[in-house]
Amino acid sequence: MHGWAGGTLKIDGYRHGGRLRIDAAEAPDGSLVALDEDGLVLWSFAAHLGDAVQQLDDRGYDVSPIFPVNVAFSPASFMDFAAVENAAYVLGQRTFILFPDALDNVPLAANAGVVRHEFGHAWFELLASGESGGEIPWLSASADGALAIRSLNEGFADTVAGLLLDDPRFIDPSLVLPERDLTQDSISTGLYPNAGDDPLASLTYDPYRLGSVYAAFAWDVREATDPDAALALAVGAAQAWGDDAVWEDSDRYVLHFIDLADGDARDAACASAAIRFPHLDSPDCP
Amino acid sequence: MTRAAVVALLLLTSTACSTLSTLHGAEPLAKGKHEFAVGVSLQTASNSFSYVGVPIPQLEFAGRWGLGQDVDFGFRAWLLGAGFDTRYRFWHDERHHLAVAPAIGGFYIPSVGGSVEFHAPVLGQVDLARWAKLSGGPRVVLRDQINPVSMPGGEKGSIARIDVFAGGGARLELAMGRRAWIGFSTDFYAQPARHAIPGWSLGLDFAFRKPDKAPAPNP
Amino acid sequence: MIWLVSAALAAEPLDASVGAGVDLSALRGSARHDVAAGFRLWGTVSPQPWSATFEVAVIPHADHSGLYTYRTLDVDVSAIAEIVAAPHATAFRAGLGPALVVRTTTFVSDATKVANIGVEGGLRARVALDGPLGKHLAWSWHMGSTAHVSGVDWDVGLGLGVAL
Repeated sequence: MHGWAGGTLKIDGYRHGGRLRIDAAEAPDGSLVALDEDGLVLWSFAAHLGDAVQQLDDRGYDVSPIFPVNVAFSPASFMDFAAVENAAYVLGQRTFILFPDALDNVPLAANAGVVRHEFGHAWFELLASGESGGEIPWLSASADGALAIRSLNEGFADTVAGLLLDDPRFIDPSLVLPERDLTQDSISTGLYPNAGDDPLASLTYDPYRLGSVYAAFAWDVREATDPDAALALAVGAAQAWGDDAVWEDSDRYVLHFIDLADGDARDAACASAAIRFPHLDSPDCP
Repeated sequence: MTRAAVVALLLLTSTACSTLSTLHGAEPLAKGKHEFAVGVSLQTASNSFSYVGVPIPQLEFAGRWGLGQDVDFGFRAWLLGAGFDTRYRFWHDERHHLAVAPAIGGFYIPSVGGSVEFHAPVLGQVDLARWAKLSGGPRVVLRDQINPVSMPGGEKGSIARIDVFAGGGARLELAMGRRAWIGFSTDFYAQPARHAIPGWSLGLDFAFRKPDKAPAPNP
Repeated sequence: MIWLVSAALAAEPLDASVGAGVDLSALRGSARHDVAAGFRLWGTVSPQPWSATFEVAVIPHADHSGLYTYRTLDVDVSAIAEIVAAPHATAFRAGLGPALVVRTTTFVSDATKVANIGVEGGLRARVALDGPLGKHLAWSWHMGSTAHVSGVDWDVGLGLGVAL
């Protein structure tokens, strides 16, 4: 992992910034504490990222193609006109972007679940495209298709975070967002993008609403089985969806999920899909 | 105008902008004299939207008033912001001038945020002829931008960010008759605080002022 | 403004002055600069065309969250040799000199408390304008930069003082 102070995030990629310098002092218990808040956030991010990779490695998943990654703290970008506390992953660039803390709770970039969510984006890219840091194959999708894929990507990232921590409200230590709760009763009807060629509608579409339905669907299977089983099905479904390369249809992820499941997992997936994706008709469900 | 164009225009004018262009030289106006100028330029880094890879146009209006021997006062307005400066000429002879022009500027829009910026240009000028002046020099700009942060769920806070531009500019001014001048400027700045890509400006300006008598050299 | 300019142009340049002012500083952190307001004491002796300015800047800074608090205090001391140009009472100064940067940091959370003092040498450069304000007072403006081991700090400030 390469950490950078600042730098510039352009449309065609990240331009490296300066050297990070995290000064630290020893606490009475022998641990090291960063001497400023940005250093604390960066260290926390790196620690959680390492933990997430270890968790996946322990479960037999190979995420090494994602590395090495860049971690850029508050780079200059077109988003400078506003401010946000967050963490983000830039598809195709193997780059995480961290923003400074502005609120009172656990900084988002230091939240164990949020870090796993962002890593989930990197993993989605690897599973669905077969590589990390290369061309993103679904860029050829229509505007509506691209927005639906964004939703699926967000849903998969929430799935990874929720299942690795076995916590459906992993954001709560930083922000209380009931709409991102993986146990909520959400359905997909009316949440699909329908922007057509209207750029204003594309700018205002919220991918997290449909994404939360995908994540809640996976959590329904977790509740019937266990986190590892649900995660394995999500991973397999993402990979199969990517292999299909039918970029206009994000719901094929749900159909693959059901197809890969058996026993209690399939029963739960079918029951969940019937409620959350009522327009879908899976041949594997009664 | 399409909805996309409206959105783009709103976004452009809502940014925390600075201006990196050089609009004047080192020779202050004599006491009681005044000047009005308008300038256009292409700039990067002063407007965050330029980081998509496209320089952004900037429009500026400026006025200056002579306050005394070797000192004048200036006001400047641009998209989006305004500021003022005091130019003090600390050395000159018949054809050469050295001055410093500390400036302060900024803007603020409720719910969007704003910025305050401080400029410290040190300017030199050579009068190539009565109708041509070449000026330029180093400049440091410190800009503090503050934006409110409002998260889904109601949490609120704010983030302050410092930008430093360190570099300089040059300007060639040519007379167009007795009262009008045309200026060509170029500026280049590193961004050492955020290690961002350099910013630059290419500008064209028109100034209108009454002709001055030749200044007496330094005692 | 015009009255101030007239007073500054008409009087004699300062031989020496001391004063205090407010600063806005950009202080180097782990990954970016933190913005902090502080105050600065200065003393200048000016046997033209050279001068020497001594500065002590005190810059407190704090970051709070519901889980922890960082409190930082920077004390910067510098001695700057300057060239001076003063066709009137207002003098322009530009100079360079050594600096000492002392930073104390305290971190407090429910789990632990950590205190640290860091001392670094560095080099400071600044440009300034100053001059008399009436018969006994003085004013000062500056912009400066201090390069030390941890990075480069930037500052700008205004001050008032007394003419000696």
